Amino acid sequence: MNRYQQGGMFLNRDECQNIIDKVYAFAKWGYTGVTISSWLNGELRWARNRTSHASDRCDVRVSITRTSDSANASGTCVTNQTDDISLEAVVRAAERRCVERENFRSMQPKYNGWNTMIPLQRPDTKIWSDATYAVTPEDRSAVAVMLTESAEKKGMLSAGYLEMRMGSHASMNNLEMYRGDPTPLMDYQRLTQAQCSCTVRNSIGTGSGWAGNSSYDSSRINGSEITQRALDKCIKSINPVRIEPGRYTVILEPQAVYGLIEGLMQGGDFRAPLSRISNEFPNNTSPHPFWLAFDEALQVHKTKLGLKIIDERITVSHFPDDPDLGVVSQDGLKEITWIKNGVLTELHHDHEFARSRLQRLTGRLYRPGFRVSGGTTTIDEMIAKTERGLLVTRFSGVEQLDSNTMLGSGVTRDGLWLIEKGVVTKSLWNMRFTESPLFAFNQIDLLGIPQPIFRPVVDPYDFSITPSIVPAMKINDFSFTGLLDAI
Amino acid sequence: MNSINTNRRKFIQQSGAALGGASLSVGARSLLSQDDQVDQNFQHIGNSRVKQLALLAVDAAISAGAVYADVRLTHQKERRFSAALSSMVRNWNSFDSEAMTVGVRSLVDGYWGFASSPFWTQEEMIRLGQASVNLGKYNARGKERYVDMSTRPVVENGHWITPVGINPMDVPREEISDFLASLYRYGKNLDSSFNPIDFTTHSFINQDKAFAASDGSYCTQCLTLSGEIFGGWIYQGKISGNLQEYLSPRGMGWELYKSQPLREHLRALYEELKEDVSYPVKPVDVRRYDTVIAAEVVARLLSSSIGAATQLDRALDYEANSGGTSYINDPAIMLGELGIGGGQLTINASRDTVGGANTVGWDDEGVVPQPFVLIKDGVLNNFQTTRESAGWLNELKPGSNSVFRSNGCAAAPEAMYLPMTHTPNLALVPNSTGTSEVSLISGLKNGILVKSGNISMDFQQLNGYGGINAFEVKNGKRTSRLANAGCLLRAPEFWKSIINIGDSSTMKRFTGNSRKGEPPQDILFSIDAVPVAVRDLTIIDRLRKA
Repeated sequence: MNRYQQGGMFLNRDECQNIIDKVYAFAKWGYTGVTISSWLNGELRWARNRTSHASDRCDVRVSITRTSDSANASGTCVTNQTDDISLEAVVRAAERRCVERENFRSMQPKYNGWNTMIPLQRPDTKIWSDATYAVTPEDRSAVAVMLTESAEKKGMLSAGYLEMRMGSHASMNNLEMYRGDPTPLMDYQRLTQAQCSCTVRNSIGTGSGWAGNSSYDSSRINGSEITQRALDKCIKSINPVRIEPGRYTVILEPQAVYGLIEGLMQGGDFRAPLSRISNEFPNNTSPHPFWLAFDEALQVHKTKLGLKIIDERITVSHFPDDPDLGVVSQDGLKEITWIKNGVLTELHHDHEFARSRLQRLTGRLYRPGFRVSGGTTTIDEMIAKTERGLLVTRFSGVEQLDSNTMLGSGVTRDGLWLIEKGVVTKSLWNMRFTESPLFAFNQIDLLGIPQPIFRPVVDPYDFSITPSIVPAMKINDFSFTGLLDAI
Repeated sequence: MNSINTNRRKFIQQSGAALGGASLSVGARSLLSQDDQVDQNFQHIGNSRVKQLALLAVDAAISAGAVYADVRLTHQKERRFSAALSSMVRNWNSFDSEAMTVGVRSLVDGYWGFASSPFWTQEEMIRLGQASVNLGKYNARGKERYVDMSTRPVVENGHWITPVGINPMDVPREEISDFLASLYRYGKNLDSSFNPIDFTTHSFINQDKAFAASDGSYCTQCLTLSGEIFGGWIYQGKISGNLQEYLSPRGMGWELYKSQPLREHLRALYEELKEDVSYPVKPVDVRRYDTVIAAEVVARLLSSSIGAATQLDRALDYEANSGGTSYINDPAIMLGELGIGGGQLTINASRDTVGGANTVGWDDEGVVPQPFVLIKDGVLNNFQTTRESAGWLNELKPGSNSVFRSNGCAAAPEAMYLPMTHTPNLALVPNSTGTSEVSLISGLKNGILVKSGNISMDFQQLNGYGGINAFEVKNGKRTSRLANAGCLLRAPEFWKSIINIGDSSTMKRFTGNSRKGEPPQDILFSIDAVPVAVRDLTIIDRLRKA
């Protein structure tokens, strides 16, 4: 019997319900929201072909929000202790913050939009894997030995990380009663997440290769294939030569494409280009790529909704029950297509804004995994059809320079090669690009088969970031503006 | 065999044990309740029961077969004040959190195992001690690995407290909220075009920490960190500045805010930005310039280039799969030999700096932090090390005159994270002869002044790139502001291109973030920096494509 068969050290439905019941018993007035995240991580890290540490860690986080009777103010406090004394203390502390804000809010006009809100949805999703749940610390250690062997035999240095994660997420908020839902129930979801990534370098640091994958299901992650790919890239990248920066045809592997698309989907939730949260109101004049003019009737800015913004072969969407994505269920999550055949079809709004003013939900942005449509061309076929171009493994340090055009910059990392007459001929120095995804995704020549990319959880208390499915792309006229001798 | 065999039932039992207070546990004291009442169950970190728990974990690990084990228990309370632009002149929202965690680290046949959880109970200490050993054992079945931990004096029952004037947790929330609202109201009243950045956030942290090791060391610490973790001011929506030189997080209490004339600083910032925006804007003429770089930008460069590159684990590829490696990548040859910068460049490192963001009494391995010289007269003089990595240096340089010992750089944000090498507080030694920022600028005939900016380094801490707030300088006077300016640099050349550096009157303190590891962890550290004048810095138009 392994540890997980005995019961993982994260909270089950009844235990979460028990905590929530206690919190509700302590709360005597107003409305209460409770969120409980509990998790257990099994981790293993290696460097220089040896495990540098193995760890098992667990924690729980209880976040309690108390909202006033008028639903006009709230306060939130957090603890990782689940005993009665701590829970009551957190309830009282949240209440004090709520009262302070209520006093402040009483000076402001009350918002009356609550009662017209449509109910939130919280669909079931597929995010649990027995295979991930069953991986033991011994299994991880054995895998690590196997993953470093191929690099060591070739005289290379392997560094990598393997993580198996399982946990549960529960929430309940009776504020929804105020907003029209007569019987709010606790949402509970248990989930697993797994990741494996590997960097192989030669001993004198003149070559480096990387590969990685993440999924809720560890059986979808092939560790041997990842290390072999990193090793191959390392060997092929040794002793790079330099070429002049400029515009090149590029073949971006899926992880590199993700580096560009990330700028479209992310940006810190409300700053993401697909989000209108920061642009709902007339006094916000920040530049925005999908923004046209102010709509007097709706009191929002007109957008490029309905207009073609990128190549018509590209559709960006997410479906909560997509088994390849493993989307974590969240309030407001729904099937959504952000971009359909190159046309901007949906923008994300603040939930309360969308529920009251637009009378519809506009989905969750940024964290849930997404799927980008692709084609059928393999990377080898793309290379064979390229007269002169570059093959890019991935980008690093990508940042947005101009929010209006989405112009961004970043550097290539762990493998950049020159393609001449349909064949990879040379390993190259890394280069810096300065390019906009909106330009690049209008210059697509060929599309590869969509594949899961490496998009792991970073914050252990945040379950919501999940992998995405992205194709390789062959793109013309991609702008490189600098050379790097870093390897 | 399970390394962690606590099941769901135990999870609840442990929570319940903590509830009782009279059980074997130390008791989950309700930190948040101390807002307005004294919790009688409060167990101070100095309580003997905390020590009993710590020793129990260490004993369990040694009994299970560890050759060395240590344990940390941390109890952290954080109070954050943040506000949207619409309300920050009237009311600041406080968000409080607390967390108690324990982490046990064991060494078995050259392999580390680590186990952590949120429960401070006797049963859990034993379980974590055994679990950490099992993790080490599983890995030790593979290839041979050797760990030579450098020695350090055993500390017995030590206790250290961040020397704060006013513990921020003793200050009523309303007072802090009112203080911040008043400050921001003052700023906004200066000019309607002068606005703070939305969702500005100030943070106050108390972390109580206990450490015990199998060699007999035991110490406790009460650490405090206060400051603005996000924020700044924008004038006319065109140009921004901040009060980071006064309010960047550091090892101080509420006196950080109360003891400074912040309104005067804010007015000075406003006047500065007003002057900045008055210069005509012109496009960048892309080429190399002699440049004066303000202390804030120098601090960021120190943090991201030399600060990261001299972490010994990074230099030896231990971070290759995450943040990246280091261009200082051959310690055996480079230590004591490699020219990092010009002769004026000396960088001190320490974790005993008064008021430093990363100042402690002992590091997370019980090492008393000793100040050390990282870069001496431009030459690589030392690495940031822990007890294990100091052993690597002894192995790499066996013929060295001295035995390398840990520099006290082991750190982790909380006990639930494994300690790693993190950057200590850094200080750029100023010019001993009088050199003000004005005199540096007046020395430019046809050059650039970089007042602020965010220059990040690549994955080898080698090539820098970033956006800068830059001004053209002619004959020592600013003449215009450059649109969309950025800069490119290569660390070895950049630090050697220093012509002159500011004196001690130009020294300012900022805060850097050491982010590394898998899973990632962040440690803040202070950087004392002065402005520098450099030769031939490449200034570019960031928005120009190929």
